[in-house]
Amino acid sequence: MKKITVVFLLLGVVGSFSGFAQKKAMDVFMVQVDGLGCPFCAYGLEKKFKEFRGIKNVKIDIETGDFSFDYPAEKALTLEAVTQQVEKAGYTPITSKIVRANGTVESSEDGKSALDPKNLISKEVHVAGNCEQCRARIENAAKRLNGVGAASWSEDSKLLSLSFDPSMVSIEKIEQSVANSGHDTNGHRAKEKVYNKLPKCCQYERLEQ
Amino acid sequence: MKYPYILLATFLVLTSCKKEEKQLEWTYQKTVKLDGINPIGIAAKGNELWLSDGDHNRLVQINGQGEILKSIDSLDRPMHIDADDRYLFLAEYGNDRVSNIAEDKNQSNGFKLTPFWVGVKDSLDAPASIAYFDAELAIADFYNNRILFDDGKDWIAFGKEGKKKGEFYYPTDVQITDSLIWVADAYNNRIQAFDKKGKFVKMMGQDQKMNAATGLFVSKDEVLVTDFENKRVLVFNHDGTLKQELKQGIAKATDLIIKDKVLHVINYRSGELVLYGLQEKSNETNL
Repeated sequence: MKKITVVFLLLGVVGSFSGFAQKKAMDVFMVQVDGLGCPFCAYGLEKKFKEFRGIKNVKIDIETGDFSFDYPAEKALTLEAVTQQVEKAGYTPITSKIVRANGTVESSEDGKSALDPKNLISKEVHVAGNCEQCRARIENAAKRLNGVGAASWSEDSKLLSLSFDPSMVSIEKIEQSVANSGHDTNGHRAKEKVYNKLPKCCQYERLEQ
Repeated sequence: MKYPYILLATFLVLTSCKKEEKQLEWTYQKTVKLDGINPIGIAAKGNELWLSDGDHNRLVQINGQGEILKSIDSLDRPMHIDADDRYLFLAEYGNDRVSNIAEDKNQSNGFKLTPFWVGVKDSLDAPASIAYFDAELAIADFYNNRILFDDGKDWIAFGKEGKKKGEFYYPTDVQITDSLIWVADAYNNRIQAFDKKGKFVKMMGQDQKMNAATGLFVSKDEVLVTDFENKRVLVFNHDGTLKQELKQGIAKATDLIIKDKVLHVINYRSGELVLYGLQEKSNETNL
């Protein structure tokens, strides 16, 4: 009988420890990743992230490239470490954000100036691309610039609709940023090297310049 | 009296010629919604239809209405599967394991999973597909850009990353037939075929502007491939001539099989099973 009581006590102690472990503080990581064309790519990214011990709640949206996971706050994983791991897995992180367990937020987009809506103008630019992943890459290449308020690319029309403050950023600069990400515009051709590094599903037919 | 017989014989010969000349083509029949399943692989185990549900880490047997009859859970990203009358053959992307699964009443879930020993030097890195044919096995080793093949006695490995003949850029599916090993060379957007020593024999689809050739099925007369991003299935002759392009109902398809003369295509994202049947070509020409 004693033995049974001891076993129950031990189980109780182990149970309470594991309960404590489940409740430990977790940071939430959100990364938008370029190049998740299909489940094969998405599961591949997940597989490479399993190298982080303690990772939980891994979620991947193949269409948008949104990738999120929880990680123990005590490990203080940095944005840089996450970025490196995404690159190691063969993908390109576009934006990343951490919501720490204590409520603070860190983002790769920190430092962007706030825009005054009355200074914004709208324009459309033709940009070559194929798929949802192209869309994410093109839009982010524009949005990452200071002065760009909104950017939306259509897979059907191939038009990038922009809203931006011309006193802060020029259309030339936006087109150049998009071309630097690997996508031809009417006025700017992406470098061969960058184009070749695009995921295979994103390698569109080049535009005549 | 002779004439009626001659006429009858001539008529029979002509009608039989006409029948032989009839050309068949795949025609859309219907779409079956698979509730809560995101299928990646499909296989027929005897009369049973099985799907791998990668997002939910399980294999499921479904009925004609897309309802789940049986489930094998707690797998790690099961991908393309294969089957014969007795076994399911499973490739798990997440834990680099390939196995067979047989029914076993002594197991709590009714199935026994037996991992294969793979006789090659380096370990697998994300096996995307396994194929079984007459005691032969083949595995598409995704991140290692190679195919592993066991002829029942010895394992061989062939292929490396690249765009040339015999090279791969992420192979996602494999099938063995009498004399060839067929590979869906996903991001080179083509199908390649090899002999059983691993020597390149032929390729097809490279001129069709595919965007991720994710799954293939080879029948006696045709080679069928899912063109994932372009939302279509391409049907080739064995010599690589394009016969048909199927688009109706197809959306981000990952795999396909022909079972009982019906083409079964699975849409990963929308969780659907799309069925095509064979019908006479509408613009047929007779002798």
